Amino acid sequence: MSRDVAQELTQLLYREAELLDGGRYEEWLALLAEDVRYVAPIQQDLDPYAEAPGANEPTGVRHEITYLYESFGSLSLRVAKIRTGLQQMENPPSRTVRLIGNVQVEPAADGADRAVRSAFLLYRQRRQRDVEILAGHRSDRWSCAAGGWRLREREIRFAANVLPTKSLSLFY
Amino acid sequence: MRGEHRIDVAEAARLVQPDSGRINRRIFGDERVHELELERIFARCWLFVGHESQIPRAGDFVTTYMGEDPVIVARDTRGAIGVFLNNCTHKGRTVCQLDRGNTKSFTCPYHGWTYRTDGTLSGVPYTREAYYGEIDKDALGLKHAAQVESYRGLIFATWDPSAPSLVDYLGDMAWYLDIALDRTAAGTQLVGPPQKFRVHANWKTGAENFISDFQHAQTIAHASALKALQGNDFRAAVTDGVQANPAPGHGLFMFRANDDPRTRGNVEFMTLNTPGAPNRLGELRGTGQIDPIAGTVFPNLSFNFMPGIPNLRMWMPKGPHEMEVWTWGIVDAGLPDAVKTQMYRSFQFMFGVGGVVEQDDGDQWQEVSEASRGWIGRNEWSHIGMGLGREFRDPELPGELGLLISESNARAFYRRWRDLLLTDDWADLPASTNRVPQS
Repeated sequence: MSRDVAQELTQLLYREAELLDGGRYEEWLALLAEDVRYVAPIQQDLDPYAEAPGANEPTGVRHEITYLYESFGSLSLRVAKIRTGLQQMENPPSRTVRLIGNVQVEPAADGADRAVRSAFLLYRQRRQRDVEILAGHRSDRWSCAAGGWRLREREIRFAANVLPTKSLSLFY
Repeated sequence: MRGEHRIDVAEAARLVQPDSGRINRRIFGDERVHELELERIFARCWLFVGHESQIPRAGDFVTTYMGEDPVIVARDTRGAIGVFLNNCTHKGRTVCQLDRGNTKSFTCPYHGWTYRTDGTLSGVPYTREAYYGEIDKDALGLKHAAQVESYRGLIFATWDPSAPSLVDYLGDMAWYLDIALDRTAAGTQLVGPPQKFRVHANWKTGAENFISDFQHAQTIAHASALKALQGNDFRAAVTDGVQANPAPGHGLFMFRANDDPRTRGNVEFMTLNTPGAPNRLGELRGTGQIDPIAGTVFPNLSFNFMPGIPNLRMWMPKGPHEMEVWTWGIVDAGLPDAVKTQMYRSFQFMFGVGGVVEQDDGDQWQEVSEASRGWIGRNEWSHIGMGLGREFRDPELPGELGLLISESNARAFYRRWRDLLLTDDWADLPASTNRVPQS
């Protein structure tokens, strides 16, 4: 692993946080691959010592059950929703501080891609006293394309069981 | 302490005046009113606690809440479903810490008292040495809900042994619920785990919204989502549907299929996916002519049964100023996995904590609580008078009806709330919250 690539991707995560904190959502979308897979699975408290924790979950839905299960199209629609100017949660806009840490960059299974793991703290302040803090881990896969690195996959695991927010209306 | 500061029941009941189209804002923030609700509503009414599909095998369990009381919903070794207070009979600690699982027993982490999956006490440390073999284990099982019944897979429980049967409690609301729950022989299953999230708002704001409030979706609250999804022409006509309160406190609002494609989603969905439904439910309900947009089973179970995105949710009270919203997908158990998956994904894109529609709701409800904290604001009245005196009947549909855009169901909800506060005996409760007589 080149030290330069690791540093470049770490800086890119910081840059991404800056774009999102600044409400520069179109510039953020430009960092995403068109086939991006962006998901946030639900966390539960299960018995870690059970033989098959979670085995009695009703089945029938493919993949893990999630808060968010997004594509480039659906994320673009979320940005378009904010840009109507009528989105309750972003008018007036949230003030956010994203702290990104514990960044680790490794080669992904797929050749030139990089697996990037990070932790985040997201402080959100709205109006005078509306404060929320979300924390979690992210597992990403970034691909290097002609125009630079693009996010291909992101899995967000919030630490919370009951999410301490009324709306996941930001990007994580 | 609280007992000395109890609000008089009659005083609390005067805070809702549905027949004058108003409710006092103290019901959304007064601690004493909240205490009264826990006692008079949540400790008496049938409350949704889960779905049979969540606990198919002996020993399966989920944990949830009835009002503010934590409960365990478990299937015992004989296959029976029990609902128990999650509260050790020794020192009162929660016995089970997990969201769900499968177990032979529940052991309290504090002193090790152990309960079977039917709630009975099986083991107490030092039974012989320190209790001298004299402890009465038979009398010290987990507290049982007084009644547990299922309706088409949905499990309900009540703490009140004198509450009417679940079928009587639901009344004609079941006629509407069956559109989603009984359209196929295989019935429904939940898609879980639930999304759980915290909203700093009173639980009734959610329950009232889902029983009666199509207005907010058609004016401003969801305009950003609907514009992004459908463009500027997103408004339905007030005549595109109705709201109905078919049994005390329960209600829903629905599209009725006409030429507008927005009203025909359920026609398309049911024609494609549940072709046997007309044989089960008849023409009107079985072919999607009714599209149940949203509704509430009193007090705090709500649903969207819109085609392709069905979900259930509970408004879990956490004091007067806070609730947790728990929401699950609910799908037809017999449909192919690909369709179930699409239904769940569509639901979570539109509703739930990340849904582009629901993400605009929590803040509205929070600001109701926020603006009603002050002495002046909390003593003001909220207006629920839309369509007051204009309720009507339709021989095809059970219950009293209002326009799709009206507040007739909100009034019925609060009539039931008031009646439960005022009335001790279920036999004395008004059989209907309707104001227009059945023709």
